[in-house]
Amino acid sequence: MAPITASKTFEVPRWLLVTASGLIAFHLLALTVRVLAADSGPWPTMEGRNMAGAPRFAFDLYQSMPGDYLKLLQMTHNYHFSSDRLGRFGIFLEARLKDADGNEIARLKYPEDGAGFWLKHRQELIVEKLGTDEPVQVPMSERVPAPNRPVEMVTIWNEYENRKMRLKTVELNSLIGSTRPYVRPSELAMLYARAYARYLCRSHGAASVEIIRHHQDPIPPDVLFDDNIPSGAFDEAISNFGEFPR
Amino acid sequence: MKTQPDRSIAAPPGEPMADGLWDRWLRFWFTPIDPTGLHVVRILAGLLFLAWLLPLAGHIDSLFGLNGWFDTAAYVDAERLQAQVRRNEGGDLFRPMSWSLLYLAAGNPQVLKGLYWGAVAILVLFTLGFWTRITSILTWIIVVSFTVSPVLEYDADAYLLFFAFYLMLGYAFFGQRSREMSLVGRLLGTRSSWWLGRRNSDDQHPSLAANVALRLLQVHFALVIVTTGLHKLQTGEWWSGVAFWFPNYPPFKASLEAARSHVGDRELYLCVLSIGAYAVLAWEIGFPLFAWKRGWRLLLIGGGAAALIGTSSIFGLPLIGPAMFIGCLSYLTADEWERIFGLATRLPGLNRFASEPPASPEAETLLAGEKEKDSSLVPAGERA
Repeated sequence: MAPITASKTFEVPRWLLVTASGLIAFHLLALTVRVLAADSGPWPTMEGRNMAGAPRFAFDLYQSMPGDYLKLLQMTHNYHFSSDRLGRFGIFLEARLKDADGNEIARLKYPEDGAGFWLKHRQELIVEKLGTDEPVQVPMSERVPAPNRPVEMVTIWNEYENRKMRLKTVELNSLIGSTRPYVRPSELAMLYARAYARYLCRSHGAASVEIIRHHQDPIPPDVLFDDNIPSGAFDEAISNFGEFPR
Repeated sequence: MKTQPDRSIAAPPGEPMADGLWDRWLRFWFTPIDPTGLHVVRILAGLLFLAWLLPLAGHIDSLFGLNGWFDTAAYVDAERLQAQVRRNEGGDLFRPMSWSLLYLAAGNPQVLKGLYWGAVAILVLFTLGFWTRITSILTWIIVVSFTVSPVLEYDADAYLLFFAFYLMLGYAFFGQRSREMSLVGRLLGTRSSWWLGRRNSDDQHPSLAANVALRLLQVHFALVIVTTGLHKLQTGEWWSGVAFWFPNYPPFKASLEAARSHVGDRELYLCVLSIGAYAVLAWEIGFPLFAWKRGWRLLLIGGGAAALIGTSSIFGLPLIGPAMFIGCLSYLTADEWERIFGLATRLPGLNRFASEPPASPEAETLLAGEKEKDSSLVPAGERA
């Protein structure tokens, strides 16, 4: 290491040290507040598993951070990684491409079986986005729509065969009184499904595409203690998002 | 008479080092250090960025283009949905989308391809240490631009983003305190950042920017590790110690019979799995307690190495393990790196990479004298 000689370098003035210290402290505070202002869960509740909100002080502090500071630096992650949750179901996507007459012209699978490790991982990230279902909040009593407004509808997963589901749009009021829980794809999953459908139609010259999700629940370690596991308990399930035009 | 504490960052030899909170803060953040550690992190992070981007070369348009998996209409829908979630619930559905160089391609595959290969070229230059003043800034822009798409959002992106940001800070200011630097050097960078810098050279000066950049990276990395450790405790599989069960029996690949193969020794098997899970939790949650301590390097680097091997081979998650390993290596001091290089150059075939001795006997004497004078400086990696 070369000898340190003061004449070869500028001395750092005290005001610069103070300013830099202030910036560093603010930056670290912003990161810490971002981490604290994260939702937690899902936790078990009376209505099922739900996320819990962030502590109010952290949320208010995060909202009051000046000028979207962390957004500018692209450091808005709260470091609650999805890979921390390991008991997730497996998923792959089947896309049935059709021409203008409704004839099937190709059937594709993602992730592709022959894809390399890196590309397959990216395709897994793409396909995982279709796996976010959410429970339907069924009201306790009938909802009467406002005058000249339509009845409230909801799109749910409807099981038409064992472990086979397709989307069905029903009146929300028709679900009242039922004891079975209803599930639907999240708005985000539908957004991705529509985006994927447009891409597949464009890239393969199809007029429409039917998006089908294949998923399988993870096998829990409880199987080591249970000798009476019903057959088909961990079989593949199929959820059909339906046909999307180009 | 009470001796007034010395307020300078490095106390002259023989003077007591000031020990107030402010002085410790100054020593931790603003002590100029040998920039070897910064150069090593740059090279490793640069290789990580290349490993992240290069394998996707044949799928640029589908993954990054506005006519790909996530098209313009999807971006519009996503913004509308994000705004709705913010209004109703106050949070974000995914990482807020913002600027990206890739929008300049405007759906043109040829322009997108040009941007992609230009990005790869810049990452190579940055990794090698050429014109780091500029290439570090461009590297950060590249990392941000190629991680904007929500459809490709991946946990490792968080590591890539802050690695690139702090390296940018470090190299933007690297060597700027030098009085002798030319204007070109101040704008583009100098040869002192090529590869591992000019170790044992008269041109190598301790760098304040290197210390600030490495400290920011270290503190941010520690925050991430603790947060991810605490987040794991929000899931039942980590609390019950069965987290490592699931990657061993993934859906679509493992059968029920395979999963029940350990019925005979289930207690022992689950015991081993739970010890592993709790070891991970303890390492992550206790990370700040040992990360900066020289005596705990085996735990630090061992944990990083376990993450490197485990996340890739067991969990099938590329990039996260290497990113964690690089983060752990950022805590090593310059003399620890010199020791590692010394060991490495003893390997057959690598002795030609051994660093050159000082230029002259007079320089050796001067160095020995200055090393004594330098003993008051606290290297990065030491707790202040």
